[in-house]
Amino acid sequence: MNRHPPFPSGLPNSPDNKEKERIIEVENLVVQYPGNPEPTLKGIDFHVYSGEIMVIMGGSGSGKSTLLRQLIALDKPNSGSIRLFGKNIVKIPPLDLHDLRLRMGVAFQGGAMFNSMTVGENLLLPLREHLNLAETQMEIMSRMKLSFVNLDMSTLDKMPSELSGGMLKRAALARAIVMDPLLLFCDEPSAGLDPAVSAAIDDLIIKLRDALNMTIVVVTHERTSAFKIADRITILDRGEILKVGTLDELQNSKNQRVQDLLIGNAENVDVNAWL
Amino acid sequence: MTDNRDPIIPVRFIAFVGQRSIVAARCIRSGVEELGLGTTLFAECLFWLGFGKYRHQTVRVPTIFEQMMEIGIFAIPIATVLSFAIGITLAMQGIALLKTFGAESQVVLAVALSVVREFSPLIMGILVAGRSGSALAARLATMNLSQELDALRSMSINPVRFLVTPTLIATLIMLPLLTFWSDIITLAASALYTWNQLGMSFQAYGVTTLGILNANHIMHGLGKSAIFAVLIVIIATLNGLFVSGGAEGVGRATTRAVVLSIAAIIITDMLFILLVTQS
Ligand SMILES: Nc1ncnc2c1ncn2[C@@H]1O[C@H](COP(=O)(O)OP(=O)(O)OP(=O)(O)O)[C@@H](O)[C@H]1O
Ligand SMILES: [Mg+2]
Repeated sequence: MNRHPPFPSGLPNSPDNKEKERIIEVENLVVQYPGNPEPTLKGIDFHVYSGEIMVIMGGSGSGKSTLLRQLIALDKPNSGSIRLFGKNIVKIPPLDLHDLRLRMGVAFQGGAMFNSMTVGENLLLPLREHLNLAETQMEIMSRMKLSFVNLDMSTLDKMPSELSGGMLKRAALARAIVMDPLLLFCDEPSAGLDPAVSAAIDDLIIKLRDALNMTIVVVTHERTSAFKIADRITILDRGEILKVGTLDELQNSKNQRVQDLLIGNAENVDVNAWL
Repeated sequence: MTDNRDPIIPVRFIAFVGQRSIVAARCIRSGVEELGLGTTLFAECLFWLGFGKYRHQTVRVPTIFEQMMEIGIFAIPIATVLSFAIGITLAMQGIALLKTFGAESQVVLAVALSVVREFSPLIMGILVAGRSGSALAARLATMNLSQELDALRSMSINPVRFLVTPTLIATLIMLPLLTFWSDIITLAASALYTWNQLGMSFQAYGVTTLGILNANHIMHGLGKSAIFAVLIVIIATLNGLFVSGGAEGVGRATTRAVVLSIAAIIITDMLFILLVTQS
């Protein structure tokens, strides 16, 4: 069964990146919340290649969550364009957005598990809503994802409120990947967890890229996990992109502010290390 | 000095009136805005119900049944108790009042009409607003703050289709049914008291009541309760969806939903009677 209908990919295959498809292309994105004097995102440009882990870093209030909400089409920008799989999601017909959303998963910061349902029902919900499969088949799919994130099968019958912070993040990750998305977004996947659990989640994200060939966008404060998982890093600073590049490229950057953010000198980064 | 002061007083007065009018105008504007939002929301619910499947957003029948259990069936015990109490009270008041004219036996007429047209729809409306309207507002507000609504959207599950439309349909079905149930219980309670006080048999009471009531009276009450159902769900949803400010915000949204829907029920009731009796 073809769950992902063929998507017209209007990708400009620029000669230097012939082998790498651009899954996400953001152009001149401006977002201003009503009532705020300044735009929160002041004309952002970047792209994400197929099969890479892109980490978006930045201090508190730099606009990371705002950018993520734009990328998953929850909010509309004031101007600019966002292309996912070649489709501009700023002006997209509802049915195309539906198809697009079936191919992407989102793990929200607080988990955002549905509290009135068990973990198992949480995992089954998107399957039941969007796929015409036998119940047993969907159960197998959700169990596979649960074991992928190293959660015990007994978790299926637990309510989200009964889970620990680390288990909750893992369950949220399992729900995000239950539809086998091509594109995964994670908001602060390892924030607020103890180092061992945090490292386990980082390993999971790397495993998702390697084993399932997902393209992954991670928003995070945590430098250690960012440096560990990132193929490339985007540094966001007060609504603008300071630098995009691999860890090496960033470390060799002459820009003082980039260096400050990388080693945690900037005042807002220090605060974030505690969060 | 007085010469200096005098002109200021009218100016102050004008400023005061001006300020108050601005406040009043703002209230009216936000009221009109909310009315517009409510209408849009209602239309959206109908859209998902009719055309949802063409957008891969089917309204699920099992969810409607779940909500019907929650809103209607589980409310039967308290609805019965309230209706019984109202029936006894009305009969007591009616007999006491009519005694002054020596017309106690007319209590059947007074109770029958006021219960079927007024009391049952109103009391059941208020009950459902307090039980289910508040629950819906609190649920949506909490889900909004915990990003559960965002999560639904990100999975291409429209929250209005998934959460609100089933509740709207369920309330539209169950509130009139509860009202009908309340009609029966209230009249039975009134009959009980009348039998106790005036010695009128159950059968005589029933026959007289059926002679007074016609389908129009009953439909008047049930029709009103259907309108109340829409008001309750739409007001609760608007308050839940536009929540802000953490746990306190949830409390405020819930309170506002209940107070506004009870106010809307009572005012709509008055308008409805005005319209019906004028024409
Ligand atoms: N809904 C909103 N309405 C108005 N302003 C907002 C809204 N959401 C965010 N902002 C503002 O936009 C700016 C960026 O917020 P955002 O949440 O994107 O930052 P962030 O990088 O995710 O920060 P953190 O790391 O603390 O989560 C902040 O100044 C915030 O006040
Ligand atoms: Mg954030």
